[in-house]
Amino acid sequence: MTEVVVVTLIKTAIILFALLTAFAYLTLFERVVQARLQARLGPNRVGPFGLLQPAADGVKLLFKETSGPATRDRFLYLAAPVLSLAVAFTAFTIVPVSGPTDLVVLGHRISWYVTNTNVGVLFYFALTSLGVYGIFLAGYASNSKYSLLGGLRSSAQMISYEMSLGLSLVPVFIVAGSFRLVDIVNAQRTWWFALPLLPAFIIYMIAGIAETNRAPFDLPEADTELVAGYHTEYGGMKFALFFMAEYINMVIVSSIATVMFLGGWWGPFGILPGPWWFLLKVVAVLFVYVWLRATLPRLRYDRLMQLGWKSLLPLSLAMMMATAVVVVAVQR
Amino acid sequence: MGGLGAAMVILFAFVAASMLVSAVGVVAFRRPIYNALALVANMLGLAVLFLLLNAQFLFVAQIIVYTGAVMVLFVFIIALLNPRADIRLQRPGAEWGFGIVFGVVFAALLLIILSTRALPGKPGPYTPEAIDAAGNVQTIGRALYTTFLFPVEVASVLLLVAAVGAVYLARRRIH
Amino acid sequence: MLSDYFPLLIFVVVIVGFGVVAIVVPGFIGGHRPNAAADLAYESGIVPREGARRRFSVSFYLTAMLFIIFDVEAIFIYPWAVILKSLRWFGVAEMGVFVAILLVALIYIWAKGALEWGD
Repeated sequence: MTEVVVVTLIKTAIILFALLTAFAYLTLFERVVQARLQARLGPNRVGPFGLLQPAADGVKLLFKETSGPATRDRFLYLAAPVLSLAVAFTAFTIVPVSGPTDLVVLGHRISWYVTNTNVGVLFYFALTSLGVYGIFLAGYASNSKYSLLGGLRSSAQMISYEMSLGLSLVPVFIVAGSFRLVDIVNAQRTWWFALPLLPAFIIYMIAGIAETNRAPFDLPEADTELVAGYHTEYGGMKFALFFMAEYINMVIVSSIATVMFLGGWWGPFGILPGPWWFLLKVVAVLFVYVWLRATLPRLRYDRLMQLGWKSLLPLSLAMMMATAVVVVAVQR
Repeated sequence: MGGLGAAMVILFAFVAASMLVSAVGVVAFRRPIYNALALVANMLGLAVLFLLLNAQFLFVAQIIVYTGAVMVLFVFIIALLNPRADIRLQRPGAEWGFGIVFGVVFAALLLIILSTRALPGKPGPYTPEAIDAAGNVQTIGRALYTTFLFPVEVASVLLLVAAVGAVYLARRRIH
Repeated sequence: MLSDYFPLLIFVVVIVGFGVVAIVVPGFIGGHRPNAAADLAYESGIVPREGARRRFSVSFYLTAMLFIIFDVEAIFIYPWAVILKSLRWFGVAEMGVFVAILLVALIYIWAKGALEWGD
């Protein structure tokens, strides 16, 4: 019991630190990659190659004055960013960073995940469905027109893509026969699921990008019409928490993509240890995120909703049934 | 397992107490959005209770469907349908009277049942060990798609009816 | 097993604590100078004339209602997915009927224009 508590606390500290660092450098990564794609230099003044830019941004946000509309709902206004952040972080508990054997430190066997439950990925779906509240309540509590409309749009978008997000993973469940992420990665030892289940992977990535409200689906924060969407009235660290939640959600979507479709910790020829393969794949998926943002224009809101309902939903159902037929047909 | 058992009792007491508080909140808060959020908290508590009973699939299903979908609709409507959402609800005393009467009757029933300990039952095939061995979701899936196949297919018809109803409701509002 | 969820509890408690600290502490560092203009909702420089609450397009409610339907559908599908290999063709047929009925629902809402936005 004590051992579980101590080990979990250490893991929690590592994940907290790792995800915060990932968040900080993902913002820099995004700015630099976008700049290069647009033939600019990007941030390069603070520290060597601009590597201290995230620290400078963090310190600035920390010392910002607290301010917001006087008519805001004070409790919900503060609770919303905490909820968003907690949901984003907690999703990482189910991600196995490496495997298949446990890490042995001083004679203690330590698993590469915080928890590996029977419901596995379904727990991630439960968390995404709670994530809607953070964003909606931020828009509602601010009592500002931009915030409210941004929050409303954002939550309607999130619930619309949640179905496709869930259904696009059903082919993986069928093939692996489990929701446990460890089982799913182990089932990909020879073939990554991205190859046989390519359509499902593409649907998952589109739904995942829309679910995290990122370009080209960043309608809730369409600067030209809604300023900053649901977090228009947030500043300083309160804004930073939403910012963190958004980027950590990107990391989560990339991690789940890695585990579900890209073979998790498995790499060809066994050149690198598992965690490095995992990291490489997550960074590769994150690069796609940034690449799309630098390349594609934003969709119109009605087109966005129709893409989710009229294209992704039927396609993911079709992919699911096709996988079922093929899996049963080749089964002996 | 002794430590875990004690932790579970403490956790149960904590969750049950917060569910009672949030249930009072559902009727006692003066602003509708807080009533709805209290109900969300209550449903999350219910999900944890499912988990403490080892109903892992119900735990996630409860969160995904009730807090993640049904209550989102509630919150949408409460927050946005009424432009003057800040009007405080008027509460005539009669509701409290009914509430107290039913609450006392229900509590008395519970007390009678619990004090007589007339809870018959013997272990069936679905012991916690058997479910863990076969997998929690797998056990539910096998039951749903063999024994309870007909209700499942009827549920899809029910969902179709719900879709028709939703469209009808929305159309009427427009015209 | 239930003990799988115990680390989760610890994790959530720590993370929520982190979030609360991150919200509360900067309040003491950043200071606050009361300013009538800063207390107004931001509307790109225009002084807000009324509150933010207003009626919104019925499409938002419709989306939420339809989402419940397909979310419940998904909940039925997940347990089926992991046992399909033991149900075999019987399982494919079962889900075929289930999904077919829901496709009727999707086609109905599509044809009725419930998925259209605008106006």
